[in-house]
Amino acid sequence: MEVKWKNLEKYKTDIYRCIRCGYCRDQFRFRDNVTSVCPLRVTGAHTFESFEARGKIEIASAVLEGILPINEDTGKRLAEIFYMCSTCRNCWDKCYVKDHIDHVGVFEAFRADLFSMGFGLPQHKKFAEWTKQNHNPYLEPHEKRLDWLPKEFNIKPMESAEIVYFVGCTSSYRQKNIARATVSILKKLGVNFTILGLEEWCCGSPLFRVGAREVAEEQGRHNIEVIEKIGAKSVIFSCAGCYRTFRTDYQEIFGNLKFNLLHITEFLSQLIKEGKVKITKELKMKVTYHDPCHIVRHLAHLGRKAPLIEQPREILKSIPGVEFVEMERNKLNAFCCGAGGGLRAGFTEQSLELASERIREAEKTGCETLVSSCPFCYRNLTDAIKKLNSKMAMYDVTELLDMVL
Amino acid sequence: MSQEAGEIVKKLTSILGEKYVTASLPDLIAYSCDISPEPRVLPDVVVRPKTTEEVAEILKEANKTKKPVVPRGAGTCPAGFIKYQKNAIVVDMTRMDEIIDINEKEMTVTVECGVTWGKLYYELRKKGWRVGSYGPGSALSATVGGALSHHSLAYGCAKYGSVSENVTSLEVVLPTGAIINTGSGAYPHAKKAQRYGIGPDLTGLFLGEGGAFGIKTKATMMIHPFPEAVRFLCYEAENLKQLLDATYEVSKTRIPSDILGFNPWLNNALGEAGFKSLLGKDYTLHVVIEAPNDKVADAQAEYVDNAAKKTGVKEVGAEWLKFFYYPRFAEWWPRTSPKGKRWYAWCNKIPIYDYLRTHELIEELFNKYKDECEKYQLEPYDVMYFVVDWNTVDALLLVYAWDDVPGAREVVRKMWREGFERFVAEGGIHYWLGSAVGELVARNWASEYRETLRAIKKVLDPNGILIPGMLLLT
Ligand SMILES: Cc1cc2nc3c(=O)[nH]c(=O)nc-3n(C[C@H](O)[C@H](O)[C@H](O)COP(=O)(O)OP(=O)(O)OC[C@H]3O[C@@H](n4cnc5c(N)ncnc54)[C@H](O)[C@@H]3O)c2cc1C
Ligand code: SF4
Ligand code: SF4
Repeated sequence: MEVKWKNLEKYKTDIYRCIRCGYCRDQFRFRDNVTSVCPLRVTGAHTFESFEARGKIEIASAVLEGILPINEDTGKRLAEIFYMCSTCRNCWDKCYVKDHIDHVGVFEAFRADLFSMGFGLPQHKKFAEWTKQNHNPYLEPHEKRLDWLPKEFNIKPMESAEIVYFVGCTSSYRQKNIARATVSILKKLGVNFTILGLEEWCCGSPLFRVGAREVAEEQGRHNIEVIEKIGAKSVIFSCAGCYRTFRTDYQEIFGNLKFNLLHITEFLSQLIKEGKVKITKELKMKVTYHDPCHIVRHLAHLGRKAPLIEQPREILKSIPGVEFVEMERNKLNAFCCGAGGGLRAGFTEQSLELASERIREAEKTGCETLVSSCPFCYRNLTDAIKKLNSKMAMYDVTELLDMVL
Repeated sequence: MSQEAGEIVKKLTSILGEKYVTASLPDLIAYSCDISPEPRVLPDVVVRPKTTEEVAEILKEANKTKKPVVPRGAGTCPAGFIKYQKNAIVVDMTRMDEIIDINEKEMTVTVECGVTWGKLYYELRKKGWRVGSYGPGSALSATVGGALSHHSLAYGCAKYGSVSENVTSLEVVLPTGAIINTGSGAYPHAKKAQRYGIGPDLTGLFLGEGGAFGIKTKATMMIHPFPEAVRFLCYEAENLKQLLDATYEVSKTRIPSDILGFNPWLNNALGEAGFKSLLGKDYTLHVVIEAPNDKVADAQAEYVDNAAKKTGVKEVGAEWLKFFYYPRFAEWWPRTSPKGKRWYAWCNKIPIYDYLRTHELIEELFNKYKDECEKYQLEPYDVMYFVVDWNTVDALLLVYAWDDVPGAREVVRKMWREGFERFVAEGGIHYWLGSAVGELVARNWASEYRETLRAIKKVLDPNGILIPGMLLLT
């Protein structure tokens, strides 16, 4: 095994900016009601300092200084440490030198190097290999990618259109309800759009997150090519993870894209503001909202793009009859659902514990409806609802809007 | 892992279970540093107990093989306590983070010592209470146990003194594993609301000793109603002497909870960070007055303002002070770091007017290292002081460094150690008792003082297992 830290080396400057204050582990801040930072510390999955952002950064510096030999034992432990993280970026948000440190960048670079040394988790290796052939991490055949699409929608993929709806693997294979609701809304609103069909490949998000960068880049290159072929001006996403991957990873690797990127909540809230959405029905519901990390903290980190915090709330508040209540930890402070960063596949139990903590928090609002705007959050939160036998009903924002159009 | 370490891991696992014992190298590395410029030191094992009884069992087990034990809070000691971790069992106290009782009738709070000052502030504030001294600048992460072992100082300490002054009673696990309660807690049946009156005060023995005499597991502290009204006063002084005169007069009123004096560099750094009224100022004084209501606050502010203005200082905008005030615990702090350089700190307590001499010492030190600082891109600053216990100022110096510049950290270490030596030689008092400071302090004790403390250590820790080397007591 060749030990190489070629990805991590790029983050050397960030690593040495950490002042080791420990604000990134847990924190209580009265003025904006911060009561926790790392979700895995809260649920007890992080057993030692090594798992916290500060510990991981310290380990990264030791690795660069060559004082941590890599062998079977240390490699395995490092994998456990670095993959026991949902890459939710809350440690970044609560770090007071955050302008100088890209925490998740460091973790993902470390993972990429571990992965190429063969220390990726078996579950991650498996979905990376599968995606290479079948373009999805769900171990599903590629030909089934369009099974979610009912005939009556009468959509032909890859037609020339101004807008491409990038469905994403989770909505294609698992949360088909979200893909259907999205398409239903677009149709009702008369939007000129197309989908990529079997030309849509995994966006690469799970692969980028766990460090399988080569396969991820292959997927990305293909997606960009087909979108450019259509000549679309904009791409819209119902998956927060796909959206973030296009916005961050693709732009970093492939340079500026020739099309605009819009998360569905951004697209719809704009149409609502312009008076182009006629809501005809009422929904008597008391709802709370879970902010996906990918469209909140991950965008805030970029600095180039404001986080999508108000857009989903504006959609919900535009629906007559909906009473909206915030959870205690919301917006930039939102508690991660636990699905992301390869955690769900790598450490299923711990991932589900995060989602359960979130459901318990949602229950405290007195709401019986929890809404989000990411199929992957939806999926983990739904599993937690089942596990807890909770009465909470889970919806995507698009599902609620579709009901009233 | 050595055979000896393997054995101790087995024993500790039988006490704590597998989940909270580790001897894995990556884990040990995460515990190998504090925030000082000292080099990494690896312990043998790290454990994370949840109860006092577990702490006691760990110490009993360590005694059997005379294995060193080092308690750890948030690990933010700026003075190198990590040196004592060599081959040790590190006891990470942060799972013991419960606020056990906020007793409004008795006006006390009892906590586990692994809790952070930030959490304590949050929970007390929700109920309209506070501790006197709110905790160190690092309150968001620093633990009660760590700060009590340092006599930490920061918010509220002009009026309330160090965090140690909050304490009425401690639960301590002695190095032998015996558990004692101090203050009125010495009577098993009494409330823990009083520190004095049950014979000699043993509480003080376990405060500001770097953890050398026992592991603090619980602390009971006095609480006060959260102030309803706050006033902020800021002044510009023409020179250092005038700043000290104003500091003295303001402190003599015995009213403000915080009094801070800024040097030109900090004024400019904060000015550039957006606090415009500080831009270009040489010396500034910042005063916080906390009061139960507006009427009292206004009267007190007028009184303090008159005292300050007697010295000729002029009022300036207080926007920084409002930002700094407690709701934003320590947020301003790392922002002063230019370009994100890491900082290393000195602190040094002296009577108010002795700061004039300290200031000269600082200049001498920085001048001596001028060339090396330039060569290694180090930026040393005489930053500020804050008033402690009415009669003393605590001078804060920082050196900023790019730690990845080869050789930079070694120069920091040299300059930093020499700084401490110079301050102690001139009567400066320190409180972060990591190795760099603690050993220096101990070498400066009168011999009778040293022998007395060593005798106490021998009685409490016959095998010398708890932080061996701390304060040169073993
Ligand atoms: C941003 C920042 C600002 C800071 N500002 C200040 C400031 O204003 N004032 C100040 O005083 N310091 C300040 N510090 C330094 C430091 O944070 C404090 O001294 C703090 O109180 C240390 O607490 P800790 O929990 O990190 O202790 P640690 O560093 O973990 O431990 C300190 C010492 O106490 C011992 N110890 C820890 N817990 C226990 C226990 N339960 N029983 C017995 N011994 C124990 C350890 O062995 C060690 O010797 C600052 C640090 C940072 C990063
Ligand atoms: S909050 Fe930031 S600077 Fe502080 S320890 Fe964590 S990563 Fe380092
Ligand atoms: S990214 Fe999230 S899960 Fe990972 S260390 Fe930071 S706070 Fe914890």
